[in-house]
Amino acid sequence: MPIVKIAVLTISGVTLWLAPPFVFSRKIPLHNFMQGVALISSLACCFEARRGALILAKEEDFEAMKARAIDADVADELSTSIYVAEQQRRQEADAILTSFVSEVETDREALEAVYTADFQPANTSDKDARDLELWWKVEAAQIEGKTQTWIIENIFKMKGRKFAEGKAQLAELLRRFGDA
Amino acid sequence: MTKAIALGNNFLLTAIASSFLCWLASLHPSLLIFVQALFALKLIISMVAWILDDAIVVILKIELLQLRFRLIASTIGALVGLGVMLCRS
Repeated sequence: MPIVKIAVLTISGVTLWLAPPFVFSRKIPLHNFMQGVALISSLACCFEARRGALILAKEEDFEAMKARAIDADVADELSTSIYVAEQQRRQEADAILTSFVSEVETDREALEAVYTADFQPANTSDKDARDLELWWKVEAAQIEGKTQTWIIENIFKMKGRKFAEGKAQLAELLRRFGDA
Repeated sequence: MTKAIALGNNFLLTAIASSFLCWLASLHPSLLIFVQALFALKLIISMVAWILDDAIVVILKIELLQLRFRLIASTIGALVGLGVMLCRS
C-alpha cells in the first residue's frame, strides 16, 4: 500500500472524526445519525490506515534486513578472500625462504668442495700435486672440446709406445678427480 | 516513518473510539451508564496495569517503556476523544 493512500486515509479519518461535532449544524436532518455514521467511517479509515502502515513498516524492516544480510555476506566473502590470499602469500614467502636456505647450503657445500680440493695439494705428496695440476689441464682441455688422443699427446706428452701408458694415466685421473 | 504513522493511527483510533462511545452515550440514558462503566473499567485496568507493570511486561514480552507509553497514549487518546464530544457545538 503506497504511503499516499495511508496519508489520505489518515486525513479522511481525522476529518470525519472532527468535522461532524464542530461543523454539522444540529438543524440538519438526522444530525445524530449522520454523526454516528461519520464516526464509524473515521474509525474504519484510521483502522485501514494503521493496517497499511504496519504492512509497509514490516516490508521496510524486511528490506533493511535483506540489505544487512547482503552486506554481511559481502563482508564475509571479502574477509575469507583476504584470509586465503594472506595464507597463500605466507606459503609463497615460506617457499622462497626455504629455497634460499637450500641454495645457500648448496653453494656452501660447493665452495667447501672447491676449497678442500684447492687445499688438498698442500697436505699431499708431490705426485698428487702434479696429478692435480695435470687434471686441471685435462679438465680445461675437455671443456675446450679436445679429444683424448690430443690430451694424451699434448698434455701428458706421451706419444708412440707410451700412448697406452698415457691412456691409463688419463683413466686414473678421471677416476680420481672426475667425480668431484 | 511508517511506524510513526501506525502509532499516530493507533492514537487516533483510541480517540475516535472514545468519541464513538460518547456518541452512543448521548443516544439513551441506559447507554450513558454503560459507557460510564466502560470508561471506569478502562481507568481501573490502566491503573492496575501501571501498578503491575513488571508482571505485565513479562507476560506481553514488551519493554517497560513501551508499556508505559501505551498506557499513557491510550489514556490521553480516550481523554481527547471525550473532550471532543464534550466540547461539540
